[in-house]
Amino acid sequence: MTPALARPKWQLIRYALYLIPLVFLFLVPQLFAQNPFLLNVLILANIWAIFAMSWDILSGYTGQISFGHSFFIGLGGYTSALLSLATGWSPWLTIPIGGVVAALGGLILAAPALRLRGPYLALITLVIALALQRLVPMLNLSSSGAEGAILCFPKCFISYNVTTKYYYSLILLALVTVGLLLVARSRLGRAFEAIRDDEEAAAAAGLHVSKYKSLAFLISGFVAGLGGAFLVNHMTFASSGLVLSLNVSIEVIIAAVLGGMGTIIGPIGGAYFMVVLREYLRPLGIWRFFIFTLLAILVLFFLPRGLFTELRLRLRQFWRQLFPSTPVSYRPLQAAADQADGAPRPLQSVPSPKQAGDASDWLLEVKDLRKAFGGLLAVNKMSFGVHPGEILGFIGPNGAGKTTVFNLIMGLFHPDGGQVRFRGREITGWLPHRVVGAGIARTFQIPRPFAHKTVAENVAIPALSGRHFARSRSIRREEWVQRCCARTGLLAKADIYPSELPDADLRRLEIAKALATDPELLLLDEPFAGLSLAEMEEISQLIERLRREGHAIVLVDHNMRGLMKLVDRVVVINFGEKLAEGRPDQVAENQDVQEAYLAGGGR
Amino acid sequence: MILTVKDLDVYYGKAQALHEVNLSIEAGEFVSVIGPNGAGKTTLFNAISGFVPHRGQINFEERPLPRRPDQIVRLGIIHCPEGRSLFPYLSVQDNLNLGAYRLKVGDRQINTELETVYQLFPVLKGRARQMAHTLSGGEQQMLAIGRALMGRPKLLMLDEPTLGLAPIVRANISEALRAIQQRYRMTILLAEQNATFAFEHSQRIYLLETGQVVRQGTADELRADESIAKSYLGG
Amino acid sequence: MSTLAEILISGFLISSLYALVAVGFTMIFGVAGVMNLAHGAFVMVGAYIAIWAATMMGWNIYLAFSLAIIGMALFAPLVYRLLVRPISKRPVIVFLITLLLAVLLEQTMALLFSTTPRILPRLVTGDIYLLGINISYNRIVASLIAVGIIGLLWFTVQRTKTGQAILALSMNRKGAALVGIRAERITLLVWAISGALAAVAGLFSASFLGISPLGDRLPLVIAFSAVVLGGLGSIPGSLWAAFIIGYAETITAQFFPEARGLVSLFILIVILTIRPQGLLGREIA
Repeated sequence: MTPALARPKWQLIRYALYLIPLVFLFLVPQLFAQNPFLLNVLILANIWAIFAMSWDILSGYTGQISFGHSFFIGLGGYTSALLSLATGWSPWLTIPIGGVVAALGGLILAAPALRLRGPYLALITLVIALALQRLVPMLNLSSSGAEGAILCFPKCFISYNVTTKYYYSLILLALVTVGLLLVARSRLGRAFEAIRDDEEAAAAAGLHVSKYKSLAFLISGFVAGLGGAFLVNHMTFASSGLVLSLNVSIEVIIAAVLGGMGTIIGPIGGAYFMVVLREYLRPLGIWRFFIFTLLAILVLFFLPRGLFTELRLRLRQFWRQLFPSTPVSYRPLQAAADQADGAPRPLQSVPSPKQAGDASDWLLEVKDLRKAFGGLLAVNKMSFGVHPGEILGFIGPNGAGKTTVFNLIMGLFHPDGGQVRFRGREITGWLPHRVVGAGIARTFQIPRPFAHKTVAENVAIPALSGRHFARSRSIRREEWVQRCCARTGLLAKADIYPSELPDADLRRLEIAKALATDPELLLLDEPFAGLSLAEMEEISQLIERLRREGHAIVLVDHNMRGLMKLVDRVVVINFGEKLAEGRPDQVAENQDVQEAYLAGGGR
Repeated sequence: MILTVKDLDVYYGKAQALHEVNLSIEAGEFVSVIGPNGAGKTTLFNAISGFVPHRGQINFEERPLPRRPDQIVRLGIIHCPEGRSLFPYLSVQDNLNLGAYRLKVGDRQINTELETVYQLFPVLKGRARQMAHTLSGGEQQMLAIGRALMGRPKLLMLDEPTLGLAPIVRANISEALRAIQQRYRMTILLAEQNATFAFEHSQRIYLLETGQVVRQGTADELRADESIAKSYLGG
Repeated sequence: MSTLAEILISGFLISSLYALVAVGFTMIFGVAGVMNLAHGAFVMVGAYIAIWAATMMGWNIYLAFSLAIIGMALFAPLVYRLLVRPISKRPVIVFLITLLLAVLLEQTMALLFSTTPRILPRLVTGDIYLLGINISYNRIVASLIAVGIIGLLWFTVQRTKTGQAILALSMNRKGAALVGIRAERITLLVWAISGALAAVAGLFSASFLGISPLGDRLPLVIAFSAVVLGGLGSIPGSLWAAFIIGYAETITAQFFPEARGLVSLFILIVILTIRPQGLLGREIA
């Protein structure tokens, strides 16, 4: 839920609801004073809940699936244990240090992980955790015990009774929960979700993807390390089996997936369910691992979305029936009204559109750009420019290299040669978020909305990237988002999910997302593909209006049909090279262009 | 009629990609579907060959089509798709041999088939041992068409075979198509953005716009239509 | 001299077994797009089937071996059909469930056969003195059979129609459907082959290294390493990689016995970091 559209009252009630189980958990020692076993189980459940949440912020929220969380847990646990053994410091010092060391471990793990996706990423986390597990026993850390176990160090929770330890674990759990919820609801959390949903679109929205991914590893590592250090102090020993083994990682994932990925709160429930089940299966002796694993497989197989996500969905339905939600009302913004009149936007000094053919003052200048894939030259000797405030048609048949040129300008690919300059500054080879930050935004040929977010939430993602704050602190983000929606005619649909939008509105949403980064130059990739004539007309008017408001626009299409009136100048490319450039009517008469478009085969 | 498509609807989620498309081909006919990018040509082809779920009736040789793409291929409807779908790390020859996978024939018959394809596209013969991904775009397109021919199609569906190709390669493919049609009386369904190319080969043409058939007729009829000539033939 | 011979010969033995494990794993990934994390457990279960038949039921050793191979060739496709295919659209769950299946199989074997390591009777007995070291006939037979199986597999894949269909399916699913390949049938076949190969590897390693249910997941790590090193889904790549890892391990074991278990992990980390597409890198499709 975006602050832009927050419904504070309901939000508060929902948070208040979370307090009920918390209060109950605080009363447990009073209610079950005769049952230290239960308390011990619940301590473990609290710790596993911390582990599961730390996994969820990285894997569920940011989409970076980790199969080696024992790496963080082990780092935290062993750091705390070794420090305590060597220095005799209090657990209250060694536990946070354990967290910090694990956070640093997260950064180290992030280095290879940033380059990998999907199964490769999962693999490397798994492998690094396995490597640590093998490495630790070889270091001969322990004075006693096998498998790198460190027993009974001087300062740990040995002297504390169960109830005290229980309260400590509960407080830590509460702190971690609140902390992670704050992260998840913040700009950071929304950036994480955007990266999970569509990394490339997130980069195009101006997010520094590597930075956010590293942050996710850092946060996750810190929390898991804290939990691991707490666990070691609670158990009074660190051993491979306790914090380092693959089984630990598996159990953490089971807990998080059972609870529901990407929900932060869910994994707490998953962890409780899993730990209580695991510990109360103890009387089964050697059968318990078998039964436990079997149950885990069955639950995951039949409820892959997780027990608690299912439960939440049911509850939410029930809740909706009790309290039918009122539609969100939008403040009719002055800005929105202004835009509807087609008035120039007040935020940006409007450069006066240059006359076509004036080559002295380029906004964007592309020079001798070259890119080869394998042996195939996709783009070659590509040179063209865009004036401030003009609409440039960028035309070429399918497969001519238009999208590749866009990707090269946006920094998605690194060019093999040539230069890109924007407002006189060389931006060749910049990462996408920097290019966006400089003032260029693009849309995708096939609309790529963030599917799990409403229209307004979609527009809020590129508004995170900070450029429009740098330029104008006077306007709040929610207002900015509404303004971008209004300028593209989406205000009335701000609360709808992309799956419910017709094609033409998805194009508008693409444009609104691009506008939200506050660009000077818009690159629109085939905004008309697949639209009806009426819809094409509407989008044309929108583009025309954006130009009047001061944006320069590059419009890609595969032919000139319908573009002639709209564009000031045309660049025609074919086979990755420029074929012609000039006013539309000039270009239409060009011999080469006619050849490329009009000549059939067989000549 | 070898193929009839009746009231075909295709949905992607809530968006409707095809609206009540009707289309039919007679054995031995060359029919084209033309229309701008995103009009639904590829969707139509994918629906016929079973890759996207659809509503409506598709009959082949008077019988409804089976559900899975491989079953449809085994009936003899062979689709040479946009993007080609070659096997990049197999040799040209292995790619072609796999084209005959649906046929229960011996090596000798496959070899005659191979010779036919090599005759149509001599470039491929020179590259028989080369891996498919090392070919140029035009050669890959020839390989894709060749692979489709290896399966002795009763109906050959070609999706944008000239996409992004140099004029000389386009001429090559054009020539091969003409040879196939004349020598084997093959039934061909072609999807093209390049209307000139389509008009050159087809007997009948369907014009698809935003998922609907907006015009249909013989090539001559449509060529005479001024609005079509203006929008699609650059005249 | 005898050290060199030792490295050459036992490196070859271990590498050929690794190759069996790796090829099965990579074939499933290539054709079904699934990382079967239970593959290492298949190796172990195969060995236990033979142990049950040979030592507990007193079967002839050849019969016991055949039972294990056939058993796993049936069991693996069953796992695919019942467990993997229904959830194949959720890769995280597939990863997790196959990993849990590995744990479940380990637990099951522990319950049935206890956790004490066991040794499978040898296929053939006797030793030979070669280049200054003693080698058992059993090891020689094992590696010959392993190499023979790989050769046979290679021939099948390169020269038969079904083999070409397997390769085609692993390279382009749509293309495979477009030439009439029945993806489902080929996938089941590949799981069966993969299961059988795992069983063979398990049989031989259990006959000279012994086996216990709660092992250190070595086979899985080996399979991973070989497959990532060779390039996911590439059969020749995984063979090369199996031999590189096998020899790297043998050499390390000779000079730094303690670091043996780390070799494959180290190779894996380096490869994933530097060249994730593997040795014979294909584009990650």
